[in-house]
Amino acid sequence: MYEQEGSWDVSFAGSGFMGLYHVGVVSCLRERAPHFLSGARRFYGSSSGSLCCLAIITNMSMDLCCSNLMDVVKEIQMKSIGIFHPSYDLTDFMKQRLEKYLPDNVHELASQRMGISLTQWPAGKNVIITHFATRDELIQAVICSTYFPFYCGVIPPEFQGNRYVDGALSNNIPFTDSKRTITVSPFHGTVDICPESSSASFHELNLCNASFQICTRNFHFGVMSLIPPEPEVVADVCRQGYLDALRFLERRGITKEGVIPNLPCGVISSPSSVIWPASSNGGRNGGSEEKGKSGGSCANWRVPNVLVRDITKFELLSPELEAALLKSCEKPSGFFARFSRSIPGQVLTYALLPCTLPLEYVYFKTKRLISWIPEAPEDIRWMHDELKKFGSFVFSEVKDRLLGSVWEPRGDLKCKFIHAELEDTSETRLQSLSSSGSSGSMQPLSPQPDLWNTEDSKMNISLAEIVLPPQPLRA
Amino acid sequence: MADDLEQQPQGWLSSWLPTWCPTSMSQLKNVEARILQCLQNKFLARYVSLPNHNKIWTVTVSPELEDRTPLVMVHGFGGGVGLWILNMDSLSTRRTVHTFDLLGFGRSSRPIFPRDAQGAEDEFVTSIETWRETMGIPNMILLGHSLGGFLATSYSIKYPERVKHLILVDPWGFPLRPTDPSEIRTPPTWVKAIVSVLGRSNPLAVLRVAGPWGPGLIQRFRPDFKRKFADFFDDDTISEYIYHCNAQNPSGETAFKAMMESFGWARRPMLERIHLIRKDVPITMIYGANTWVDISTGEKVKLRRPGSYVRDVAIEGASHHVYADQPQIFNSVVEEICESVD
Repeated sequence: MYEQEGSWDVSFAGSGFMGLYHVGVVSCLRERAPHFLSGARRFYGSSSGSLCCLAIITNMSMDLCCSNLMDVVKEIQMKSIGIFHPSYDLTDFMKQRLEKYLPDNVHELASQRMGISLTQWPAGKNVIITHFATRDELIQAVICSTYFPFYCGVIPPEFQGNRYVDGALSNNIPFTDSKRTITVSPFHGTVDICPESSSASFHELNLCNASFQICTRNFHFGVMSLIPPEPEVVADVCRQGYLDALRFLERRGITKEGVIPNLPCGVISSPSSVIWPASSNGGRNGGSEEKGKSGGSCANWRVPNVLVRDITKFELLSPELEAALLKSCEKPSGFFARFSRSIPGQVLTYALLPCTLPLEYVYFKTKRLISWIPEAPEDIRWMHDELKKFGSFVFSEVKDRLLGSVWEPRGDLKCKFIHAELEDTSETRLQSLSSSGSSGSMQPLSPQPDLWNTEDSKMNISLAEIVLPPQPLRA
Repeated sequence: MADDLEQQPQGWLSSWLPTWCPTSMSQLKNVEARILQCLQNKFLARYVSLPNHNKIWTVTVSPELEDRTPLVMVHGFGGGVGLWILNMDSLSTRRTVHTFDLLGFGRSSRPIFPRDAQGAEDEFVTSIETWRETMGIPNMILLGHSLGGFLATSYSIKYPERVKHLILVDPWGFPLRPTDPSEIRTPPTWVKAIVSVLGRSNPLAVLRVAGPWGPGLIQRFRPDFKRKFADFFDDDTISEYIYHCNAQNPSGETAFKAMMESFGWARRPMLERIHLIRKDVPITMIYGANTWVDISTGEKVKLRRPGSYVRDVAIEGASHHVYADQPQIFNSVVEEICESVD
């Protein structure tokens, strides 16, 4: 599957501050299987995944990726009340960094090899943008894709005349259904590259087109993606990304040399035979068993799962990534920074909070207001339009509900007939098949009492229909 | 009204509940009939009454092919016979296939289970055995998915002479809960606190609490089911089926909760007991390669059953619901196993 160039895509899930996981994954792919990245047709991403795509297509160094993401984490750590501090402005920070580090021709590179998932606001429709006319347009698209509503602000940013918010809200892993898409997500789920779960839960949630296992750690990761923990914890997430990508490469037989089996850890255990769907290896074996083979290269399912805690010397695996992580985790060593981290400094910060916070609040809000002024007319016009639309929608809904139920035939009755018909056809068949009536067979559906379906409600406006949502199960 | 339809017990709560949750046994029956319509082979659907007055809803496909060992399929948590629709036809071309709704799930009776892990498990296993007796099946190829896999294993420990081959599809409840702190950075206490409060309710209680929004919840949060069965149903039939299976009186669900602790670990893990299965019962374990059920369990089972037949297989491109993700491959693997029996 991974031999013919351009036959696969890579899709990165949006995950806020857990995005450093992607950096670990990319770092591993770059070191161990460069052809895997260079041969991919397109990179898709939503939210922080799109930042990762940018890093790949511009060939950004690991050092820069880590420090850019880590700087936000550290900045939040420095603030007395974290992300709730008035000076915290993620969008602005990202805009500055993107302006600073992206090369001039980035939009050309991106148009060829990148797709960004956006969510149209307020329609909620998913859009995947693959063409960018200018560098500014690309930056704006990334800003839109990372704009988590109410977290980054209240007025969604504009892109090509439409308002968009975080792409992760409508489609977290673009093209996850496609067999040729390699998916990457830092949450436990049914994704190609993701941390292997240690929980035994088999409940699953499908949120925003991505599957999540329902377990404590995923819940924790979800919180972490919005409220970052200590930089060291985030760095471990990044290292885990590296290890998971390595496991993926070795299990699928994409890299020849085995690194994980030589690590002094882990339990070697995995299924002895793997059966691949016919579609993923050109239909050669038509669903029959083919031991440990995938499209010619040897797959090795005995590669164990390795956790960060098992690795004592990560620098042996990837000196570059480890150095970048250590460097980006370093705390500022200035006198003021050291003082504010010390216990007296902390006490002082929190004791003075009631005095400083209002001042800071006024200062930063004013600053933001001033920077908003150039965009204000556009935003106000948009809000005005949206309010008008919403008002007319509510009006027409209410009108339809009040008038419609008097004049139109009831939907439930129609649905009842369909039920009855279905029942008839299946019934006759079952009856003819059941040889002995000893244990009985399916019985025809008898009329059942229906809350909304009383005879006299036909002519009246039934209260139940207005207050309760319409019965959702219809034939 | 059919007298074999299970009636809900009429307490003050349950007489009020149906008005909140748009579900009933007859609605479940309708949806299931829509699903079973897709079957090509002859089939027989009826209640099998057990001596203790519980009724087990049973669907038998190709009942006329009785000269070979029948395949009995046990569904997983929250499922029912309808979820085997992609497999029943294919697997029943050469032998009879029996599927049934587990006691407390789907259309079967929903009794009150014992509240301890062992009691609940025994109740399930006894119900399967008495069902087999009533059906007059001397022996069978037993296939279980997820929770069904756990129960099928437990059944094989007790009644090995009835099982010609045990097929476990992504079975639940095998791994032992790690006793040492398994992670260096465990989630903070407040996260654990929230989770443990949430964990006190039944696993699918949210469906019933959501009332009229319940069906929407399934469509919203499990669109993958619709995708898996898209070849057969392009509407929301499967989501409706799952809703009606689980929005009713949670009997099997409560029993499952009794057998489980802290989000999915079995109180009585099967790995501790797998060696109790008689040596000559062959076991095949089928996993989805992308599942989060611990795939390495297969290897551990091998270690614990030296000298016995244990084979483990992973199917690429499949998650926990292997039979629906890659139905063709799954069917051919199971078919091959069945052929090896007779």
